[in-house]
Amino acid sequence: MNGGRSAPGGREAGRGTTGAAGAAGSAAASSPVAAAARLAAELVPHAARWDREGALPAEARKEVAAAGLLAPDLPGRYGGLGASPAELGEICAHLGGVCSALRGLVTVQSMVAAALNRWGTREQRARWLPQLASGELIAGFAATEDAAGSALAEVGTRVEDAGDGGHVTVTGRKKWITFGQDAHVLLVLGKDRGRPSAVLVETDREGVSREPVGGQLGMRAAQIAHVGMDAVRVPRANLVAPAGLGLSHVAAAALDHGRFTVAWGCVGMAEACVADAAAHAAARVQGDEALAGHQAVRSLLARAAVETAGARELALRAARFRAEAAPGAVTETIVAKYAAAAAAASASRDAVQVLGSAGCEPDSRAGRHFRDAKVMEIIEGAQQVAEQHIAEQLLRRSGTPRPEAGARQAEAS
Amino acid sequence: MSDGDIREAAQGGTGDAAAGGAAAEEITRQVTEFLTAALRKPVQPDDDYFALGLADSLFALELVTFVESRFSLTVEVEDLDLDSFRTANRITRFVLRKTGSPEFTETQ
Ligand SMILES: Cc1cc2nc3c(=O)[nH]c(=O)nc-3n(C[C@H](O)[C@H](O)[C@H](O)COP(=O)(O)OP(=O)(O)OC[C@H]3O[C@@H](n4cnc5c(N)ncnc54)[C@H](O)[C@@H]3O)c2cc1C
Repeated sequence: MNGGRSAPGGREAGRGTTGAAGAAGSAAASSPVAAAARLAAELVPHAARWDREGALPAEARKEVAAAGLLAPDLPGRYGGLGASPAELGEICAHLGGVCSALRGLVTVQSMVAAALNRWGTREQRARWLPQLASGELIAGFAATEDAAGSALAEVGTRVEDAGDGGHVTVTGRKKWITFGQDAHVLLVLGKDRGRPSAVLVETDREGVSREPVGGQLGMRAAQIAHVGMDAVRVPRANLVAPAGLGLSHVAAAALDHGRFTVAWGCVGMAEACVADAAAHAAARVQGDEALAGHQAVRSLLARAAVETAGARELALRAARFRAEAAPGAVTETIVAKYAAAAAAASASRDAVQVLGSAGCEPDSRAGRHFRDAKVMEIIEGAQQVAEQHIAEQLLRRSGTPRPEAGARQAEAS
Repeated sequence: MSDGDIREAAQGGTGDAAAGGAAAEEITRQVTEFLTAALRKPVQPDDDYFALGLADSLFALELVTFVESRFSLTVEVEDLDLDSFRTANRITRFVLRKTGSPEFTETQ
């Protein structure tokens, strides 16, 4: 569901698989991956402060936007860079290694852009995508509610006919919206007479209120907000896809894209943690012995390195499936996100262990990734939810039909 | 029949109704095969698997991706009236329409 589509009449594709070798170093200097690498190197000294202050400064965002990295996989005619899935992934790994909020900015912007590129009308694509690519508009994805987290079919936000033929009203309360404090437009998942519906809500409309969230476990610089919408009047032209398809198609396309960028962000986090732990273990001496001289420490390093390398390969595999628009792409992306979030969580935990008190310092990168990585195991499909889907795919392959409902009940009792 | 043949058939290379019918049958066969595997339940060409509650939250996206890649076409938002994808026979009709094949009568 992304750039690499090559079907006749399909939306302009990304540059296909040529970016597969986009790993740091092998891409041309002018490539989007190289631009992300340069930006990451430049911004890395600031990330701890952003986390402490709970905000990504406007200048940092402008730099990401100026480099074309907000939705880099959008086709050129919408102002994107046409980045291939592998290139998009490497970009997110570079940014994720520096700061999850920075990567989160790209995740939300590009997931909203991807959903619109996939399911927007020609007019909607022409209207919104160039502004999302340039960063003129910052987008948020607003699905979660108090009673609807993993089970998004339960959303209670109402999309109702405004009675004037040209508008709908949107009423509900969304929680945990990344960059919700200052996003200009939100892709909101609601229900129109019980049917899941997706609608773009500009945040300067009357009836929108925002409650900033601060001091949460991780992603502290992501300017998260809970957002209230009280009968917000929105033109019908802002409805994305017919009512009934807001979750299965629109939100699903956004979340699929989000999982992919989160997966790669986690690869970057895990790689950064392995690098920090190894450097510290080699340099730090206690009682005449470098930490790296202890077998126990070497084991921690080895395990983290192997798990991280495995996550990268699964992320690359997902990128290949996506570049070919292969039917397994959705599942491979879930597998990659699952493995990469787990790798980021365990590599950051082990890195903090090896760093000792240095990993607990307020400005420690490993310590920050440790907090952020836990969040990665919860958002975009919690680990346990991902396992349900992965196991279901496995059962499909076994070719055995599922038992009849009656038989299932009998088994359960 | 190889995938290539199907695509040719789906794209109406021969332009006669009999070929359209054969293509339709083959498309329906492939779609029901995919559905039966994906839903882990034998699916008949006229079964409405959404109504039967067999589809999980990621199924719609997988189905769209399957139809696009297998039949070399692009599903646009304009194609997304809820009904086009409800049954295998409807998907076949959709594929033939998208690929410009001659009209056909539904097979059971
Ligand atoms: C930092 C941060 C940023 C976020 N940004 C956004 C955003 O931009 N937009 C947005 O819409 N939302 C956002 N969220 C919300 C996020 O998507 C939800 O937290 C997530 O979907 C999980 O929902 P929940 O927190 O309600 O947990 P619940 O659904 O209550 O689940 C809690 C736990 O129960 C288990 N569980 C739940 N369901 C199942 C199941 N079916 N099978 C097995 N185990 C299960 C899992 O272990 C899970 O971790 C953000 C959250 C955080 C923390």
